[in-house]
Amino acid sequence: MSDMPGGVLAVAAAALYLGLLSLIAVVVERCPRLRRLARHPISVGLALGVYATSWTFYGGVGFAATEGYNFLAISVGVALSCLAIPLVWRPLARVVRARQLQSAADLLAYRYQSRAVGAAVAVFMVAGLLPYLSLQMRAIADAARWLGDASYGWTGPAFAILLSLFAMGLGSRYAEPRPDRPGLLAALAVESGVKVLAITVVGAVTLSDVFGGLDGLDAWLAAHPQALADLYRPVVDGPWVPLTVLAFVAAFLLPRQFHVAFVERGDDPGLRHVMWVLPTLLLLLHLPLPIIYWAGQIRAPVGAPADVFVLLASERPGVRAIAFLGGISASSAMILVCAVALSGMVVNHLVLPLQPARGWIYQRLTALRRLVMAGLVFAGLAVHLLAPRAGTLADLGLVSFTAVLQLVPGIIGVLFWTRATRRGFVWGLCGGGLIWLLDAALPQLGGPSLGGALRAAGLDVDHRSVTVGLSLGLNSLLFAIGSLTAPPRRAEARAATFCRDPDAPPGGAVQGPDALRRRLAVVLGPEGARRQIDRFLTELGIAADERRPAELQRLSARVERALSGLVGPLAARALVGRGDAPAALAAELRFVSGQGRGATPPRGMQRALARVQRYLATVLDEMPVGVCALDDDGRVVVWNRALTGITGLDGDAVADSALADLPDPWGHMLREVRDGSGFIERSLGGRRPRILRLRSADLPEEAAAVLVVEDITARRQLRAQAAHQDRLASIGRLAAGVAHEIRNPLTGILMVARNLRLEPEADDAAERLDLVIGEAKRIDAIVRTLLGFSREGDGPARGAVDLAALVEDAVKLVRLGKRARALEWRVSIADPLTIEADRQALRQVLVNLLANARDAAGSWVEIALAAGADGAFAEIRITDDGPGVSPDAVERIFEPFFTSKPPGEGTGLGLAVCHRIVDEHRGHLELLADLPTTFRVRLPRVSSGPPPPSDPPLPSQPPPPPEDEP
Amino acid sequence: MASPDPDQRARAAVVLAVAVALVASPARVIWARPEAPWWLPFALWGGLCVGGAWLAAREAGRRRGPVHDDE
Repeated sequence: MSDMPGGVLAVAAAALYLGLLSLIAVVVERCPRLRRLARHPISVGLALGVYATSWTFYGGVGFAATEGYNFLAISVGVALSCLAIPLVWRPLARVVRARQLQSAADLLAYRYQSRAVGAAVAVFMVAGLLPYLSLQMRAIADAARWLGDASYGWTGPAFAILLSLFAMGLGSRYAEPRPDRPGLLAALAVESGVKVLAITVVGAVTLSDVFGGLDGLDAWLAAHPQALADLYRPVVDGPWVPLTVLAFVAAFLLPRQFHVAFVERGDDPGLRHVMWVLPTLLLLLHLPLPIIYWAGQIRAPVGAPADVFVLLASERPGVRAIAFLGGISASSAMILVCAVALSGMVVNHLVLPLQPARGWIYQRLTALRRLVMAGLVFAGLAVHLLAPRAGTLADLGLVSFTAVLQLVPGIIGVLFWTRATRRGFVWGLCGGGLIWLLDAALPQLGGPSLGGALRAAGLDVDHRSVTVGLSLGLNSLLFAIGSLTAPPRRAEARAATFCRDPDAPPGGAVQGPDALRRRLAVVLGPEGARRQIDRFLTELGIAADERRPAELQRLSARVERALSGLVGPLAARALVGRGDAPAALAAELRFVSGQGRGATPPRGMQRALARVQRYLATVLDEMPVGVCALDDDGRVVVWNRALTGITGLDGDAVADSALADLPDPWGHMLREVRDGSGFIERSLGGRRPRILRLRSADLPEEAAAVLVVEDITARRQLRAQAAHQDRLASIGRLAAGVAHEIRNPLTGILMVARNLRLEPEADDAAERLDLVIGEAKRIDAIVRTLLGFSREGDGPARGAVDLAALVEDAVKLVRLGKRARALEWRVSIADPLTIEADRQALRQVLVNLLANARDAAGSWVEIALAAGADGAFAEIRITDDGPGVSPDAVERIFEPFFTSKPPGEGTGLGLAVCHRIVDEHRGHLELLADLPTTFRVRLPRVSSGPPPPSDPPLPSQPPPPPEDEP
Repeated sequence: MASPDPDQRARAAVVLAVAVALVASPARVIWARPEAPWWLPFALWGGLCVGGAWLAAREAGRRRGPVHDDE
């Protein structure tokens, strides 16, 4: 073999080949025509051929030597998996694409809303994939050994250094996948082509040289029937099914497969062609392997392992060189993509969470990822160099496949089972991982295996079946138990729902450019954050002072997408400040209102729907009352413009906030109305005192509650003014009586004073002066009563009110005057009753009613105060023997500005004001009988605040008084 | 998991079930016999490729169909 390429030549050839792949990636990205070609859906299928590594290329024959046609299962399972693309791959791709995820660790961390899950998956994947990386090193080192034995000792390390450089250079270029950079796909597609071409050449030449063609092969097999029987028999007796299951899962869950299928190009057209391109590619790769295996048995040197039959089956140097190149191609592509995918997991889920959120991380992320890539390659080399060389290449590969299998229950939680929880996933991963460690990984390091123990116990079991069955079984059991014993957290449940419907709009609160800069500055530093945001603004054509929600949504999504590839989805969302996706309702509502200005206008039904939604959003925003809607977490999802006006709090600022986080008094008041009786009124002091009325209603779906806030200050002021006007009018009507009432004591005072002036020394002077004082006190009482009545009220000043005293007071006031004194006043006070009320307002009610009775009465007025029949109310009945109320007037008697009195004698406000006042005291004022005219006032003896305004008026009652219509 | 094309999922499920029954069930004893030609597993595998191509073609046909305004 002296004329074969030695170690130096092997490494040099590998360097040239890897350089060529890098060149292809760069050239493809620079040439539009090649870029289109690289983005062709068939290219994705070819790129997924990265599944076939040196395990397939070299180890396939070795696998056939020990397991017969079972070696096909490891790719037949992939073909079956491809048939399941519409059922499994595409739903996963939709989630990954919609959430801009970068790896299986991202996906599971998102689904189970847990950084710990992401970290656990990352650790497990690295541990699980190290044997696979070491397999590549071992395959290349063995190949170099059998081609040029002198350089064997350093070929492995040299190859590792070469691959590290390759991964760090080309791999870090694709750390953030971008649709406009399909260079990696192109390089992988070319690599797949090289593999197929190489194995086809080796197979064809071997067939020709060793067997003289297909007829010769048939003749040889006829002469050696055992050769074919050895291949077929294990299919029935051996681990065909577990291998198929492993391959089915590995086809899309191996980090490199996940990366190519879902991250680099996970759209529907690409996956559609994968259904036939990838199985066909693998078929072509495997077809020559049985021929090479049989040829190797004939031609390979004695002692050569079947894993290198691909190299040694032909004695032609050129063919061996091609075979070596094919192996290099298979190994390097696997290591490249695996390093890219795993470095993302490691950095996002293991490194970044350990770092303080300060500026150096982001700037050095690329360097960090390069470092991790190199570390992974050398870790694979270390495993290769340090681990004992037990088993075949296939044994090492299956260790990694079994590790990947442990993610299956978690993926079921992503796709199908919304009840699955983080706890179930972690329990399952721990259980399955333990079996994997004991029965798959440690045996490769020389430790005992469970399958070996079972065989030693006399049980004829295949160790791979034991490993697969036990690990997956225990994993699934613990997954189910862990998930069923505790309900999913709210965030998990929401994420599960989003995973099932990944096309739901990405939500989250939108941030303005300045807010994004501030948030990014935490990790980028101020200058880096400014540069990044400016770049995105330019890229998206968004102005720096943009405030439209749709545009800001685009900006946030762009920033999040950029960060997601670098720091993982959870960290990216947190950095951008979009919060958890499920908290997106507010942003979605606001987004709808600005959708017409979005970058991608909706079409058809979607457009009509958007129009309706926009209309409703506008109605909500323009309502003259403040509206705040809360989701079932109690977070703000709607905060309309009127509420911003009332509170001074911006809707964008409070979106997604809990009520407890709102500044007082707003947070306190809104919580009080939500958690309390659903209705409160509060007065706010300050420079501009205000009276607010707050109401709440529960919503059965979508949101927990909607709160309505009204500023009723102006209405209250108007009502107070109306009441005051009514009092003034009453005073006018009372004036004549008052004047008459005052004149009598004044006359008496005047006469006594004159007499005292003439007889200053009279014996009864003191008695006369007492008379003067008595009459003066009488005048003072009259004036006080009148002043007390005329005083403008300053709000609902409530307190304990003795109703009997109040009635007597009102009667006293109304009885002033000649006409009143001509009437018989029948006052009946059965019980001393005390209620909580506004004394001034109630006195106005009584004076109004009594004045009306006085004006209408013929000879008597009757006032009766008593406790109601049920004891809960106090009743005041005022009856007069006047002509009664006409039928027309009965209907309108409480309407404002309605009066039956002659022009100039009544304002028409009196009864309307009375009705409102009584209503405010949660009482009733009604016309009980129209002849004799009887008004009844019912007042609750224990008042509990103003009545809910939504209470409809009783059918017999008139419409509410004027304060609702300022 | 909601899918925009339940028909395609149903087709894929049927093809997958047939394929599993053929190559990954105990029924494989039908073809995994020592006297079978050496290329038979590859022929079956080719059948899987054809199944995948048929599914892809059906999907492509659906996508080339009339485009509704509400899609």
